[in-house]
Amino acid sequence: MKRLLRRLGIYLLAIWAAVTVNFFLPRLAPGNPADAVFFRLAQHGAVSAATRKALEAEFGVDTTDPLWLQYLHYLNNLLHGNLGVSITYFPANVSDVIAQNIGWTLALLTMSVVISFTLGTLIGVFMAWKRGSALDTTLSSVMTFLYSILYPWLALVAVYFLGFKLGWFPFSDGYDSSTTTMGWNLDFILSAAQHAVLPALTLVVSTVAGWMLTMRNSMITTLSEDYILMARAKGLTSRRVMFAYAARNALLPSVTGFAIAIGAVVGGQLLVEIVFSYPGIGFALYQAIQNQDYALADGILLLVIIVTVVMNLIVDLLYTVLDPRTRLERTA
Amino acid sequence: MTGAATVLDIRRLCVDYGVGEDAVHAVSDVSLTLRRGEILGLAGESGSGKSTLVFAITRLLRPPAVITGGEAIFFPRDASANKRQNGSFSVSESSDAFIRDDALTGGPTDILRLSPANLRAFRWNELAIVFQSAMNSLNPIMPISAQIMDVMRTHRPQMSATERKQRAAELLRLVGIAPDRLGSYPHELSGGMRQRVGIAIALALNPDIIIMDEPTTALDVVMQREILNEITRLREQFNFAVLFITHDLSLLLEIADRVAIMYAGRIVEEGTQRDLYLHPRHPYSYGLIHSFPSLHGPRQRAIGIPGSPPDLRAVPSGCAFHPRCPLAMPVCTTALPQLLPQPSAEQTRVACHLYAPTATGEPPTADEMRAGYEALAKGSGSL
Repeated sequence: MKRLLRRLGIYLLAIWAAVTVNFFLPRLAPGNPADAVFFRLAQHGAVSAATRKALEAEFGVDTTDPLWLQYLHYLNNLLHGNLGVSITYFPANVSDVIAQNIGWTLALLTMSVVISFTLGTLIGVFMAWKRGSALDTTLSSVMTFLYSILYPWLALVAVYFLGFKLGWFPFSDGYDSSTTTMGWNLDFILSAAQHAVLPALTLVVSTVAGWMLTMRNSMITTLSEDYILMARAKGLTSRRVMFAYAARNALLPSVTGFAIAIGAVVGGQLLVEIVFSYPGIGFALYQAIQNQDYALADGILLLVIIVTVVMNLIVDLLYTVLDPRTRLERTA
Repeated sequence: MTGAATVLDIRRLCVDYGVGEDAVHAVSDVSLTLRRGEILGLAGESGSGKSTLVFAITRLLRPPAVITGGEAIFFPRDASANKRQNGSFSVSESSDAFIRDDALTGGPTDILRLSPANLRAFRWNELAIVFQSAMNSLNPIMPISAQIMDVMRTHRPQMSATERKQRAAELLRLVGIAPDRLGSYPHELSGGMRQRVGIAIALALNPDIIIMDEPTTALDVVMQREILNEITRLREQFNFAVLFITHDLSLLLEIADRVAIMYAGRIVEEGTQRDLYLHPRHPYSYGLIHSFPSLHGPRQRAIGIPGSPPDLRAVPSGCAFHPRCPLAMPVCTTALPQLLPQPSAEQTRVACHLYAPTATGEPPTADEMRAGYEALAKGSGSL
């Protein structure tokens, strides 16, 4: 319990540090959100000085307060759950923007990561088990090839051939807004699933090799352990030796990676969402950065930080379940 | 133990690492007989092939090791005989839990030619192994109870979960561990306890044979003694045969009924523990036995065998021991000595030209061998 509390303390400290960096970094860059909106409005016609004043007031950049005071205001707002107003999606609240986009990202990316992890890990287990066989050597080279492909290239190739040329899958947006309405109806779900195929496919293809190679290597090390020899000598079925003895032990290093990947999901995969114009959080972040939308960028990054920290905490707890050796620390 | 039925007969077993010209002959032409209920010790320096031999007869060799010849015949116990008559199996004897798989109830079987399914049934049912370091041979993330019980779940599917649990607790008690440690993980146990758990797992199915591959090497001497006593006691109780592998000959001379000594992949001498201790015949055996001080008997200077074990990639011609042998003769460098029975002792076999029927002159006496080693030691000392 004491250990858990200490851990929590460390995590809170990490969040505070990240929030602070988050606040100062964008504000050190030239320009400000009021300028950005001002120029956008100015493209459609003259904008009065009063409007500009109002914009500055709205975004809180008219202040003569020193940066540290603004920082304290920001912290205060954060504590009250107020993330501010987005410029990109003006006049929506940042929390609303995030709420709207996060669902898309979570559904798409969580699915991809889970599929990729499960598939890659299983293939890795079998490859290590059949080490040196034709299956292993072929897959090893194929996977190394996949592993070295640059994601944007893969995504563009998929968009061009599978989406544009062959027209098998839609390649932009999250669903077909002209024929379906958002909600729990079959048409919408099917449409959303169809739109998710290409981005999910490219993600899985580009990440599966990493999981697989990690698992294969870990598994090969584990397979040379004495307890595997003993398990075989005991006449256990290959399946039991492979999974209960070997894979279960070899999996431990991958667990951390998996948690980090899940944590990163919340931040969205910028490239994926940009290439496929997917209405997710990564896309929102991309726009926020382009528009110097401090509030939205801060909000999204805050979310990423919190989720990463929470995932770390979960891994910590998970480890004590998965690896009894780490429990020793608690009693010591 | 003389006259007891054979349980395992290893015949002319050869194991190579690699194939073709560069193959290393780790085990060459080894024949050994293990009788029911005896402890057969197998001693040799590191690299003498003793572990390879064990892994070959248990079919646990990994590439590039290949069995290039020979047989390992297992003789199943007579169907009518009840080998468990001395055992106390309150839990299981009443139930049908120990009805055997039919796969191996036939006649003698060559382990090296068992089909995968039969091999799996054979393993642990008939032949169990206690590995060198129990530290590493237990799965670190599985409680020991699960590691004892999965043997039963695989080989005795009729047993209920409760019966398995009872049996596991009984096994722990047998090796002197409180049954409340069932839920412990390997890292929560001491080295000695882990080795006891290893022995408990080996006993789980009442095998005919237990191979012990240096079971006490990783333990301190006090714990070694306890484990050895445990093994001797359990052997008397359950009458399994033990093939005990070690590089510690003094230990074997204490617990084994018979001892075989390996050098460079071959057996160089085999005999009863008593005969080997009192009259080692092969100069190598003599050197091994006298290289450690004895607690009893007259004070003697411990001798050492000069040189080091041969590189198996370049085994000396003739008798592999000849470069280190104090009594080497010209013939030793050219002809491979055969492992031959000795007229002087019924169960002893030696592979040494000094004892061959064709040998001219009398076999050397112990004093001559000692003198030879001392001369060698002086010679190398002056270098």
